[in-house]
Amino acid sequence: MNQYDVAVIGGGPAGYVGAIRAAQLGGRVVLFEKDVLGGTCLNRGCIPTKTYLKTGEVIHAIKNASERGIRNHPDAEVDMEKVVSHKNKIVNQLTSGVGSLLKSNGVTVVYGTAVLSSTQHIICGGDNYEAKSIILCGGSVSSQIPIKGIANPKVISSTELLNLTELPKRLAVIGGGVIGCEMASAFQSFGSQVTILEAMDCLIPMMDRELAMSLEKDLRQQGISIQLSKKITEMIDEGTSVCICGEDGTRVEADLVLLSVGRKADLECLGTLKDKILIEKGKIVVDEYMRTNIPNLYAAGDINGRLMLAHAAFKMGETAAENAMGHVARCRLDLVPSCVYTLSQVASVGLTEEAAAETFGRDAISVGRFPFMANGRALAGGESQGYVKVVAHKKYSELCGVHIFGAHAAEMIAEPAALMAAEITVDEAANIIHAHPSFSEAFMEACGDALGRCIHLPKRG
Amino acid sequence: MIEVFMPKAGMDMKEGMLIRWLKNVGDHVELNEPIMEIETDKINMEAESPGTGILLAKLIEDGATVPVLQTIGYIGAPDEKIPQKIQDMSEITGGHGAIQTAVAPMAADGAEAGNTADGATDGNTVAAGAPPAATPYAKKLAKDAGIALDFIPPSGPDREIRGRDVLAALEKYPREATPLARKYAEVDGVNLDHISGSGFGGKIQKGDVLAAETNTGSFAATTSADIADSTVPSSVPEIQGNRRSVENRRPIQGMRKVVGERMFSSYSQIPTVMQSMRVNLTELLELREKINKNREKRISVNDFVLKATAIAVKELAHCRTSIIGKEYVTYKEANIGFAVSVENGLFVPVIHNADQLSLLQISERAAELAERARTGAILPDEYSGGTFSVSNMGMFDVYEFTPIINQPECALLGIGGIHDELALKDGELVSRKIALLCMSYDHRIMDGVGAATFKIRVKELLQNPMELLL
Repeated sequence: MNQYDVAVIGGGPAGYVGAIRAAQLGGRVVLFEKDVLGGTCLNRGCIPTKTYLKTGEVIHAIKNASERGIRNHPDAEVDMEKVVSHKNKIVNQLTSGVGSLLKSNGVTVVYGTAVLSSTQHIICGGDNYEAKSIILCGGSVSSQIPIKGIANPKVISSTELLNLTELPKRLAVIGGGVIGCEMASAFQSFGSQVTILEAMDCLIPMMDRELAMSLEKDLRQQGISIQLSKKITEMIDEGTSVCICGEDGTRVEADLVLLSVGRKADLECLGTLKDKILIEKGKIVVDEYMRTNIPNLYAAGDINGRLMLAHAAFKMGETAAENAMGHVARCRLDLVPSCVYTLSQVASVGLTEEAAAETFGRDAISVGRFPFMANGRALAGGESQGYVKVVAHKKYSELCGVHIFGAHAAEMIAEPAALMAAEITVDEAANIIHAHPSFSEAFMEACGDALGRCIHLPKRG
Repeated sequence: MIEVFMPKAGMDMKEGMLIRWLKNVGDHVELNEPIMEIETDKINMEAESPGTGILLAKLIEDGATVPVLQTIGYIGAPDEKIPQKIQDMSEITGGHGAIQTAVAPMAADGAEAGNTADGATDGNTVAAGAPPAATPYAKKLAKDAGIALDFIPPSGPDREIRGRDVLAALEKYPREATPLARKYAEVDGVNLDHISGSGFGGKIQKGDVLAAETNTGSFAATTSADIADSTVPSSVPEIQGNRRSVENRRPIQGMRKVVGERMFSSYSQIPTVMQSMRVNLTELLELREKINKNREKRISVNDFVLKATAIAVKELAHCRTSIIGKEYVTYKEANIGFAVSVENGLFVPVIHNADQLSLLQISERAAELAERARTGAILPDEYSGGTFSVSNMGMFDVYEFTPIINQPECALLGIGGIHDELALKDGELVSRKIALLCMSYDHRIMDGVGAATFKIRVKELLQNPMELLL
């Protein structure tokens, strides 16, 4: 009989981490995967896009190398077949790495579509499995929107875009969120003429407004066309291309259209319990302990929709596993950093300036800024675009949010995220010695600016 | 279904503490039969059942303080179901265990997850947000040390946290607070000593300080268990050093709370002036000796003072005047209150129309009221309607003091202890008995002369005590 302490459905970031953690705690664990281990992140999301973005960055560097005194031929080109196979190589390395980790921890991996048949039973490939606790990590799939003419082979998702072996001449990106902006940035670097169409009045709407404005400006400078507040009414197939019609009468011609309007929970694994598990807005409802409304049934990662980020999923999977093994663990998701890996990166943790002003009042907060233009390392590296912005609560010297725009934002955000999780105050952050020259100094200086004592900025008027 | 609610036993009563239930869930109760004992802001009393039936549920525990008229229980037929919403938080016939008093940081989660559970169809819902299982000893240790149970690995056979687990955790992780938590505590004036930390290893986080701030001043959630716990001296040694260490914490509640609020209100709202005057009680004491010679119930000095005060108050309208809103209101009666110290605070029973009573009647009435105040049997009517009050500290060897006026009265006459004094009388050295009349008065109602006029009259009466016998 297939009896386990913990069964995990889905081998993505929440699922495989949860399975390993449960095994570490002494549980007998089985994990079901219907596709390839690693989930969206490894196969179709974070990792593949980052290989593309690095490729784009390299092209960018080559094209701008003459500025640094390098004589070269700036008309570098991508070979998409090789770009794809390079990406696949890295993805394979990571997914097989996940397989090895699961194996070394003694987790049984079963391939196939698994569904719940009761609160303690799972059916996969005709076999029955029983577990004391079950962690649902079904992940998510790309959302669709109802637009006339959208069912067209030239309208594709990010998954398909990442396997293209031929570069589209004109690429239209519907949705200016994180995925849309990253793909636009990569393909523009590759040589496509990219147009972003966004329904809201700014890109990456969930992030700090100032960051969104900076990103928009930067993408435009790269040659990407951006149309905001765009309501699409229809897509007309014109043989080799698609014509996207806007409510305002504008038309955008494209050879290929990327639909990146968000993701929705994949609830396939619920099986016979789909009417018994509490679901709101298409997501499984869980508490901070990752518990669903049914005892011993947990849900972690994109399937609960709390925060659709791989690193949030890691923590949720770990939390669910610990609770499933009888421990008590909670996960706080208010200090999860979020990053956009465009050429100039965007990274944030904590409250946006707008949210902080709304919560505490404009006068209660202090905003410190430090531009990379005044940072030696950034200037030397030719990456002087951007800034670090620190939002602090004056009364308590609390670091409420940190927002970075610039070349190494995604790496730099780790420091403020760590300090905020440790509840270090802005005074202390400003006092920490940072290596010179380094991009990270900008964070320290921005903290100083928030306190009105930044050394490397002119005295404030 | 009959609702049992916290009775309103007086105009001023806003909340009451349930001292104890006198009946168990499942007991049959009769209409008007005492079912609980409550403490109002002034007295302890038994409260009666509003109906006949079975006590189906107790919504609050012994020791809890709730606003008046809040539903605190249900009486009905044995098979009647109490409202579902209430059921979650109550002790029910045939149910298991008492009300959970959630560990502070978890309480909010419980509410949220409780909603989640509504959707369950198999009836076996998640005990979401419930604190981790722990033995009472473990809970006490954790509470004393101010660490949350969440992060303590359990070693009990049923995965419950045992005392040894808490001790092990304490040894492993010293008490810590994040810099931000310390900053919040400093800015908001919160003492970190007894805050439970929810961070790694029980480290105090900002959220824990905020939770403690929210809980302060809200006594509704306080249970008798909390009170009992917090008054037990900590068994974990406090860190030695130059800082203060807390011996115990108790909520400010019941009569103590009301007395404190009234004192603060009077002290901060009234421009009070204290004026004192010496009074010679030699003759009064001699007269009192004669009167008391063959009496079982002795007349006290205080009785003379009450009588003298009543006469003076009746004669002088400004001593019967209050400020009510934007008006001076002068009352007709000389209703004289006198301060009585009771176990948890202070009572001011009132002798109504004291000027019309004989010294003997005043003496009897005062003794009776003081006794009723001390035993908690005094009725609201017996401590309201006063127009002037007296406080005698003589028996405690107090020489002089500054009384606080019993609002909305205009003044309060304090009497100090009697002491011997040598004086020259017609060239002869004589001994006499002196006491101090210390009166605090509201300078908005009377001026120094008005206050002195009153005291001169009282002094005159006390120095010619035969007048008090008329």
